[in-house]
Amino acid sequence: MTANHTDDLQLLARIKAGESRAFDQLFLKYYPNLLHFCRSLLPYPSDEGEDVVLEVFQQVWRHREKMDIHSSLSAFLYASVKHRVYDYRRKQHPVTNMPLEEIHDELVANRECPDQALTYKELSENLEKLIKLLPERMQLIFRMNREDQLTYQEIADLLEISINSVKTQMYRAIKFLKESYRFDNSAS
Amino acid sequence: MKEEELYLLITRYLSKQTSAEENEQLMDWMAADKKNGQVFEEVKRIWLGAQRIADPGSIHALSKLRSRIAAEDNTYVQAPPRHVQLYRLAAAAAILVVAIATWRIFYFRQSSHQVAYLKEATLSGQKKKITLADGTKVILGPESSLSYPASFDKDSRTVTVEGEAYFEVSKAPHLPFIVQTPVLTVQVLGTHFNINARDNQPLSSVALLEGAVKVKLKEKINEEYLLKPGQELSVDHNTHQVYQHALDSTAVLGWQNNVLKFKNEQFGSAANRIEKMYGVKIIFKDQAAANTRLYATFRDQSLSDVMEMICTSGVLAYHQEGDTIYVNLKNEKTK
Repeated sequence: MTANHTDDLQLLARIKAGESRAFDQLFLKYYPNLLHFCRSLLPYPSDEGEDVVLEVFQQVWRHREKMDIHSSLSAFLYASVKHRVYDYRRKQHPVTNMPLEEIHDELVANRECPDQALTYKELSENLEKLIKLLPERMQLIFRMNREDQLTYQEIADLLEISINSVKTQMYRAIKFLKESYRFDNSAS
Repeated sequence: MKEEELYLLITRYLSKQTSAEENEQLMDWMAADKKNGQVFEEVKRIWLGAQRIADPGSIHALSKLRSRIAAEDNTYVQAPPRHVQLYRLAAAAAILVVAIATWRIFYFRQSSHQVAYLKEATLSGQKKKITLADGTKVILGPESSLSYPASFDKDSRTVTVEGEAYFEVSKAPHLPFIVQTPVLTVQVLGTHFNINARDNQPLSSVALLEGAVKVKLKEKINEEYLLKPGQELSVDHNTHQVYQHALDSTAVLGWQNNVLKFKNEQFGSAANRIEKMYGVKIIFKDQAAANTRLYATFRDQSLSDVMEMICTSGVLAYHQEGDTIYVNLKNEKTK
């Protein structure tokens, strides 16, 4: 069981108890990558991806008490998004703004153990720039594996590609980051 | 190992998705060459550095989601402010408790100059997992002891080990973690390592898996040795000679998983580890039997399996009486 899974199970327990703050944290944690993934499944560029992901989270909240996750929570969220893309209907709701920055700060603070967060903060910002340079598909696979801790097999199933191409993409991403990062360092 | 395989192995290791066997494979690879440790560090840096970054788009999307949920569930949006307050209150209470606790300990220490030390010890054949006050994990090997303060003070974290122990030190850069053994002082800079320091053995050793440690000899306080991952340092108790070499992860860490590994080692010196693991005593009836060289790995095998295997390959014979095992050369027995 990885640390990420343990964190997620704790979040899920708090969500089941009706703690909306935990739910917000879960959302902020997974939303960007799920959106990215969702868009990759849509046949044309559109804003529908956002709606699909929001609906998945809405379902999670609605059925929170009955949620029983056997695999990982991240794998469950990805599978739900995939399922819903095929089953998509549009909805409209009024938008109001809530003060959310605070929850976001808490999420960032909880992310890794504190001293690690500190050591890697600057590095993290530089690396993010490099990750954004990766080809769309490779970037998605890298983030699914690194940030959301999906296994190669889970990624292969979700994207309907072979496990070997997942591995190849991961290897190329790591190699690119490793080499570019070293280059950046020696240049400065 | 191919580069692709290797990078994936390292990153899966860092995400804790590898099996024990894969970990071992990785450690052996790291021990094989200094350069490998460097590659590991480089991959590790980018892997741990690549973290989820705050995304303003998500905050906007969350506010959308909130209003959608609020439309069908009125418990949702009202909830956060109440939770925030409770959370703050809880945090304040915790600080208070901690503050009182520290003051008390401080006061107590000033008046009596004593710290409460706890001691954990194991018998032969036993292992113990201990978690210290700072979250550091220790696995104590058989016939070993660990003394540690019930709570660490403000300046350092110091523990004492006799025997064998494996440490996973929780990181706290401002608080050095120090392990004292009868012969060595090991200062840790946040890391995983193994210590083997028994008075009745000729060598004390420190093996490092991750991070960095500084080792000092109590006899030569001015000499410092900096260990890198994949290295092991041994000190001869008699000559105080220091040896640095690449570590063999199974030979060093095997005891945690009931693995015994002998690499061209004399039975006489290897016997000690068998005794510890199974809680028996081995007696050699002749020197030739003790001098027999062993080359074998045992994983989670019974004592009789281990003894059978050793004796078959080494032309030895053994018999067991209670907790004592007698070993001799085969032809001698048939005389």
